Amino acid sequence: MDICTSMALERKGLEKVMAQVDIRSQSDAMAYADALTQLIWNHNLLGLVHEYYDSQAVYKGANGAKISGTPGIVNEFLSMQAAFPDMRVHITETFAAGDEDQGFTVYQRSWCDGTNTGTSKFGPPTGNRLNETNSMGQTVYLFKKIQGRWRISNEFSLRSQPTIDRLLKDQS
Amino acid sequence: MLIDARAQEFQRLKKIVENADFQCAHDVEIFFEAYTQYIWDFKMVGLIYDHYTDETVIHGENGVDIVGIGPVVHHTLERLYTLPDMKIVFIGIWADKVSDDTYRFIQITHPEGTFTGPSIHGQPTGRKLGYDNIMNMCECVVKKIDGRWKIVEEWGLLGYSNFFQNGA
Repeated sequence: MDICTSMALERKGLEKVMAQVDIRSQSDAMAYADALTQLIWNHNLLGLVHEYYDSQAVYKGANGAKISGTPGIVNEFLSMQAAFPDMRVHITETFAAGDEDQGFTVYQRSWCDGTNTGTSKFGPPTGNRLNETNSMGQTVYLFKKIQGRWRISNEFSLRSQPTIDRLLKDQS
Repeated sequence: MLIDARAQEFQRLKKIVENADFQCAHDVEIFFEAYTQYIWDFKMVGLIYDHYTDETVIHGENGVDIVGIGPVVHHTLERLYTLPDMKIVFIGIWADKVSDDTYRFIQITHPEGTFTGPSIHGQPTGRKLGYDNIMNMCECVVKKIDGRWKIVEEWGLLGYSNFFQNGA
């Protein structure tokens, strides 16, 4: 199967998951979060941040980074995706807590593969690669029902930032 | 913290960490928040032995694994020496029951403290750690082994290396 067909089929499968899941349980929340992560990161659907994050959502990242609001969150994700255009996130562990009343928390551990073929904040591409060893990531999403829809109100995310910075600076 | 308040908080945490009896995920959350603060804020480092095992593996950044209890204790003491006033502030902890004898949890914290002690990276710089410049995340698998709850595997991203590039 060619790449375009394969990607389109995968995306449609994930979109189907998103459309079918009405979050009522922790397993629903996990399925929803995993599909959304893959759509945004593996299919570069950055615009979904505006659909599935609260407009005032807060992203907390490495080195104390705090970004409020979806435009800033999109830019944060874009900086990584522009540097690693073929990046794919592989979710290796996920679990959830919470319920319909208090909201759901979903945790994901993951790693990425991808090659730095794009420009980053540190300069031109280096050709360095992300792999299972150098790119461990940990993310926690908080889902709240806002105006009748489940949305991400907070994201806490770390991904081996010093190592990735060294890759982008070609200091690896 | 005032001396009385400190003593009261110490006793509160002590009571929790001496009674590890998990009936549900919430018990795990209460326990490990207290356990973390008891070890770090109150420097009760030896309690590490109670809820880790000799074979516990901690998976860190860039594929670096800490294996065995000795390096865990060593690492903790070293960090406390570098940041003697260090306190752990919890952003959140969420646990999940896997089976009657296994839980897992994720905790998000940040340290507050000042680099006033030396480290292998150099002399102290006086720089401060807090919410605005660092965040730690840690996932643990906890199993009941011979009647005691033990962390058997851990994955953590701590974010300290950014501070060690030019000395602590």
